[in-house]
Amino acid sequence: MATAITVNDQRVEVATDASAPLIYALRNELGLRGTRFGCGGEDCSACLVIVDSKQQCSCTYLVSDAAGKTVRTVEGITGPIADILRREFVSVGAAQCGYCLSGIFVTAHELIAGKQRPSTEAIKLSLARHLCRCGAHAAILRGIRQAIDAIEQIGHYDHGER
Amino acid sequence: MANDKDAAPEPRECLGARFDLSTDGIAILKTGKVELGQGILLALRQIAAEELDLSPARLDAISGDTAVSPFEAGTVGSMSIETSGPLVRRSAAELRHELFDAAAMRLQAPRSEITATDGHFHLNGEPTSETYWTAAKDVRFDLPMTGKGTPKSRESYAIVGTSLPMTALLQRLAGGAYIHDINSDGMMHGRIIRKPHLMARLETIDAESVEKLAGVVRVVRENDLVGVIADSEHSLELAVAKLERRCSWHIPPAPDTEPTVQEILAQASSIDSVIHTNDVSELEPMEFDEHELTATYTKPLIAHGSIGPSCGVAIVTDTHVEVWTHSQNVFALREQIARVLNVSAETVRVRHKLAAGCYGHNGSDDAAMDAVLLASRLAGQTVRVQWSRKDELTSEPFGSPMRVQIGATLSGSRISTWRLATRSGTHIQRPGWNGQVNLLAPAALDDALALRSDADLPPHNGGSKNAVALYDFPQHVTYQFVPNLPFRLSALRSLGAFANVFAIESFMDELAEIANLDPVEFRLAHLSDERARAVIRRAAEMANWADPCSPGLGRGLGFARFKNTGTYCAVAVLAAVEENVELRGIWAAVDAGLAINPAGIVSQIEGGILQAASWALKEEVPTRGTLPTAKSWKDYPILSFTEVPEIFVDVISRPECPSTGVGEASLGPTAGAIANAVTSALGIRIRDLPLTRDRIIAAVMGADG
Repeated sequence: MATAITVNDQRVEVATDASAPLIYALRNELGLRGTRFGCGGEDCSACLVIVDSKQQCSCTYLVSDAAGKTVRTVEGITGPIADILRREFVSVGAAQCGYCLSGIFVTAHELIAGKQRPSTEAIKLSLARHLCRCGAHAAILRGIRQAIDAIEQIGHYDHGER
Repeated sequence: MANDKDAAPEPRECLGARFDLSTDGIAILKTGKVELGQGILLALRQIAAEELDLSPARLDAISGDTAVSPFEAGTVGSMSIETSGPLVRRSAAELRHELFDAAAMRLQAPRSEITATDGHFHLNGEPTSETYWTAAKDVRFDLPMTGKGTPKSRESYAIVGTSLPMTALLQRLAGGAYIHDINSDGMMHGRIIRKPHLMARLETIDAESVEKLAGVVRVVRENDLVGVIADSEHSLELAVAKLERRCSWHIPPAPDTEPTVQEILAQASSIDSVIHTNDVSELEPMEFDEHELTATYTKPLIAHGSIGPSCGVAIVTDTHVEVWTHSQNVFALREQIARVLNVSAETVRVRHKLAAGCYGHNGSDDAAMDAVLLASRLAGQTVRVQWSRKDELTSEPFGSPMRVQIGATLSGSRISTWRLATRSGTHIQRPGWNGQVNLLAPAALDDALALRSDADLPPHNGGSKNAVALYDFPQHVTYQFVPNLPFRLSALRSLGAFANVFAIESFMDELAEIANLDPVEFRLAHLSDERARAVIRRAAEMANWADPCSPGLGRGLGFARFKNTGTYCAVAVLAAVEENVELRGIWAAVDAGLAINPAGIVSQIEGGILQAASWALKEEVPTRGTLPTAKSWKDYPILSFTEVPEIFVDVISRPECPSTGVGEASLGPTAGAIANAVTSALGIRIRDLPLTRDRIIAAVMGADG
């Protein structure tokens, strides 16, 4: 039985076993290999995706859970805010191996695309579920802060910080 | 046996072993070194682009392919820039020389009238139709290099010494960049069931019930090697879960009270050797004099803990073997694959593909060998192996536990004698080391290929790396090597230097306190090396060392020159300590000689600082006796984003000094700096890592009681 899911704005019929974790459908069937398998137990968030506006670890979230829902992966995060975030990640070298970065990108984009400018503490708290082993944390935080500054400049944020 | 002088010289490489200019507009640099996330390919491309006067975008790299890469030893020990850097520089200079010679012939003009801009030749300043790529047709890439062509002087560098953006990140965000992303039609997914204990033997297995599961293609059982191959990752996960329940293992009976890792290390017999002595005393090593001040420091088992699971892909046919791996040494892995399969190495091609950072010898080689052995039981089919997180945290080779004892005497405010004994298991068990395969799956298959760890690297490497302090005082240093510790051990970033520098820098602070001197002043009073003095002064200055700390806060500093011949690094830490250690700020000064890519250096130094902070504050592989017990990251917590302070790194570039590797330089100094900051805040010295909440509470209670 195929499962109907909207992935990155496209409605797809997924043939992967409905009882399988969503990550296998994304990576192996749909070819969306930006989502990474890290731990299989929601501990590292390398596999993070957005399902109906909620962050989910696709290593434990099942294909059947996603039926009829809207899934967004790192590949589907586009637009001016995403462009700025990608640019600033490159500009500061916000990773070493980069394996953890796509999950972090998904979380950071959710945070900075809101209408209130996030504080450094808010950035750190939002990333608390993400593990990085290269010690690129400080560089990633710098990249996100630079992106926030650039987004501020285009007048995206309402006044005030959260 | 012929002595070294009689040995035949290495045949000189041909230009084609290093460069390929057959694609118009692109110069391909071939290297045996591999990208581990440390940015080495970018730095080597910068060096080649500099000598060739090409924009770095024109340089491509083929890396770690046994079929086309020049033979180079593994990408280990922060040595790539030190060893490959000069090689790439010289061969690029020779290529440039040959290209200019060829252009002069083609343009029928003297070389002095020819210049080149980004690969396009000019004659007396006027553009010509000749390029590096047209001239390359006349260059003999098949002849050995002769040493022609002079590398540029460092003053004229325009590309080396600049920070290039890491554009590769975009590709990595998009998918397809990693070995995990290999996905060919009909590809199979396999996994080896790991033994629960190194000495475990398989007793019974119920393979039939697993073979019946949907999607299962094969269950492999040969001696203690148990594996399963399935047609999808999901089917594999289900099959592995069932197979693990359907195997029973005989594990050697444990004593009633399980010893701790440190007890095991202390009680095992060791091979002791004096690795350095200024004849400070006639006493036996570590029989301390009663006037000596002494202290003992320990460091636990630590995991590499790559964020990406180890992965390998293989196809085995009657005539050849193809392997994709994220091994640090594709050539050594090829040798061991050929040995285990009993085929000639020429029939085995091993290609490197990027994975998550490894920080040393982790499960990468094992995953490749797992894939090879499973693929050899399913001829002609591609088999992909990806480890589970539990396997990562229990079966990868760990960094050895260590114990460092130091005794010193003070004459006034100067250290007059210093004796150090460092005790450790091996720091190397890579494929091929000491003539052994050193991989899990072959060891399970054949007792003759069992794991043994009866040798470490030579003195001043392995467990005794940085055991000799760079300070100016008479030293007597002993290495107590413990062979065959009952844990699987191999190279983890900085090897023994982490524990040795942690101990030395902690003890320097303990002595400074007794001498009633500021720790920075005390260090400088024992250091004549100007580059060392400069990084210590700079880090202290960056951290506002002289400013008083509020109650509950403490500042600490740590310093080392990696290997005593490599990069100088000093780290200063500001920490708040209640029950937990909260890092408030970290400042580092680093001198790596000529800086190739300053941003790359900062990134490696920062990465080392945060990894060391994680080790020093949180990490210890959980064990029950000799059995590693972690099941997930919950059992092996690492540093989180909420615990990361601001970090400032200052690179002191010294164009007159050779470039040195930076990947491992900051770890030991960071551990020392954190321990010293904690003591400064708490007034109590904790000498056992990690500095967890439980240890701090116990230390405070002990001090109060």
